[in-house]
Amino acid sequence: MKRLAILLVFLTTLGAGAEPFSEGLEAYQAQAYARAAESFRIQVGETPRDAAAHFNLGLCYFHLEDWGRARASWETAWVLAPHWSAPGNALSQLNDQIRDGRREMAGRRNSAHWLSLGQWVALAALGWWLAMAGVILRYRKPSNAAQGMLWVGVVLLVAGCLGSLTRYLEPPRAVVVASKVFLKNGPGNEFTDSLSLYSGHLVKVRDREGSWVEVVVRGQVQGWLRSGQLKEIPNY
Amino acid sequence: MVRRLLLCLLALSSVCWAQPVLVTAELNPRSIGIGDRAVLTVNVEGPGSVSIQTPYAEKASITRGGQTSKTSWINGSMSSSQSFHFHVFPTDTGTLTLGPLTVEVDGVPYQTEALNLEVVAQGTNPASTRPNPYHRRTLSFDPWDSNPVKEPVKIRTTVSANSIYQHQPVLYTLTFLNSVRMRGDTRYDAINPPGFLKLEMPQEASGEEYVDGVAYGKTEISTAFFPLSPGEVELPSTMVRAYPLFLIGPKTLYTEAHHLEVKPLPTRGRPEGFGGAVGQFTFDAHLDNWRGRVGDPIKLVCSIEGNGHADLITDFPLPKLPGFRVYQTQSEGKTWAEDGQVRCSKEFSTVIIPESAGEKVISGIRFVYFDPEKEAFEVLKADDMKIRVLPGSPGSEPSAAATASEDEAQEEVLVPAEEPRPGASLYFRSRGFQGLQLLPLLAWLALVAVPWTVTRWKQRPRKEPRRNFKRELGQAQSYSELSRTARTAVDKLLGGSGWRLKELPEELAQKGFSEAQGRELAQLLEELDRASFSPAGQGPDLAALREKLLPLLQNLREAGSP
Repeated sequence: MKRLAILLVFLTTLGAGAEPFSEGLEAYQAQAYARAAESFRIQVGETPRDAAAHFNLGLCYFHLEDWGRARASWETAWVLAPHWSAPGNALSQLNDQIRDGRREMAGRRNSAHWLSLGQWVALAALGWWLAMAGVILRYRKPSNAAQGMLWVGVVLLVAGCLGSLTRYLEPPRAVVVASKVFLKNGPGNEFTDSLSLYSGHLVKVRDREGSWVEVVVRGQVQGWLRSGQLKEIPNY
Repeated sequence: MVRRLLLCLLALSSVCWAQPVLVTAELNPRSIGIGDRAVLTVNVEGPGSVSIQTPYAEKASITRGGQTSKTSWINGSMSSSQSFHFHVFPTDTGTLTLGPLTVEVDGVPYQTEALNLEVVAQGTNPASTRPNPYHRRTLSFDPWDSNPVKEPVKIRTTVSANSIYQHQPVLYTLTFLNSVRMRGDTRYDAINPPGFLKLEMPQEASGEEYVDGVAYGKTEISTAFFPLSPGEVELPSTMVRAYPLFLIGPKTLYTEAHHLEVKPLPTRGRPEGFGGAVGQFTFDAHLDNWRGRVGDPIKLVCSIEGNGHADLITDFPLPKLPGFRVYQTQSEGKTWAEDGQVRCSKEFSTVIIPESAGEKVISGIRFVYFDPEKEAFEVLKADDMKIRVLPGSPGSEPSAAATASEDEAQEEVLVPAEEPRPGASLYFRSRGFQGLQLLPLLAWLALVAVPWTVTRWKQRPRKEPRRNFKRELGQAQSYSELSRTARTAVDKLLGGSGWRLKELPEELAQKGFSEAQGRELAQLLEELDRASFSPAGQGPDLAALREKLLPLLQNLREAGSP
């Protein structure tokens, strides 16, 4: 009897991981977007690197007209799965929803975003192995093939290192989730206002002080926002 | 045939070069003030070598400018001309007479006519009230000039105002003055103070300026700064590096900092709908269509133009438009510089969809801005706009016609993912992956580094072990063995076996072995050679020979060691 009980508990917990995701899908199909969003939020909490969970969460926010959180979720999904076209296509839907959306959405990516950080590291590792194999072969059995292997390895290693460093050292980004915020000139309410930003606008995070975050807007204007007004996007 | 060809060429050249010589002079302008400059140009038309002296005038400083020459073919005949320019700086008022000038062309003197220059008291360069004391144009630096310019390069910065309103532009101008030729681009670090939006003025203004009687070339670079928040702010100092021609290394100059007071925009009496626009603006609103059907989208466009910054016109709230479905407003703006002024334009577009038929009026659209010159808010109102909305197709919903295709496209894109899609794991953080990258290094160590090291170790030059002559001689059982042992030791010292017994003492002496011992060794070797051919039992005592040989061989070894 005890064994049966243990088996039952084991079987039920086996499917526990997939529940929030499937519950969220069901709610989404039923157009209960708020409930779906809650389920996907739980799923994201359990598996933070699940691009599909982030994407679906973004869809829920989109239908709830929370453009900032929708953008943050889709950008996160795109970082986690850079070759998946769905988040990119979904982000283009925000062009007309976000204030100055077309300008905000233009020029999102650079060449380092072709691959994820893990893929860049894998490329560097492959180059390292090829280069070392080339070095060993050149010593043991000098040949053009060994020389070629060495050069290919070096190129891949350099490209992988550069790509990895670029992704790794990129300043983190964040999306404004409040409907309208004023950039402050210091980390506190007593500081004066600077530019105003709207939900869905992308900023780069520079520094933190308590509950305030220093951001850079449009590459030139620096200011401070409350951390609660932003949702950060991971770099990798 | 060749002779005829040469004669033809000669005739042709003489025709071509038959151009007469004409020498003229002109002065431009004919009336200037003290401190200004007139240019005297002497034109020589015709071929020939020209010799011309710089003219002299009592009440003027004249320096040589440049020289130009021109050659042209017209109707088969060639004509040439040369022009010589002189810069005239008058030092006193009145009528200055220049010339007549004498010009020699191929040794033949020609004279120009005299030219008069009217000099008035005040020139166009009020900074210069003294005559130019230099007899040479100071834009070309002469290191042997007895009066060199003390400050060949200068900089200054100016701002258009020290007290401005928030979002109001202030023009910052950097002026670079040089009185000597530069040997490279002047470099400066553009200031980028925080809390400002910046607009670079695209064109550099250039000209000339006189400072204390010295002519400087002038270059001006302007930037417009828009303060984003009120308070005391500073446009900081920056560094400029110039490279005068005859100066080794750069000349570094620093601009001054400018303190500005940025006043906050008044809140009292601020009309509703103010979106941050500061400056002077014009406003226009129009619809792209005055007639439509229910459900057809109509674009409402509000255009603003003025002298502010487009990015600072952030908000443009529309009034309530009953009977219309209103979509999110999109904006597009640009800011540029024109004739030294900042200009901007911004367009706010809103798609509105009429939900019912009939005559509709869109009114109450207004734009609010703050005029810093009047120090007051201004409200611009758009004229009322009338739209005639016709009924849509029977049974159609207001949103169906306009947004049906958009909704379909959206639905195609916004399809949820059916399965979880784990993102790339951070495997590279694991110890296992990091440890795995050491394998190639270990393989290299094992397959390359270690074998190479071992090979080199084996190939290293070895030091020969110290020979034990006592043992070797003790093991020798015959005269020939003793002789071989001794000869091997001698070979090692002399570096080979090509020595002769008779010359052995001399050769050993050259290597530091004493001559007496060398002779003794030679005798012993000779005795050993004779003994090896003697019948058994009739040779000298082997042990005695051994005893004599041992100290000699030991000394030989010491002689050979460094």
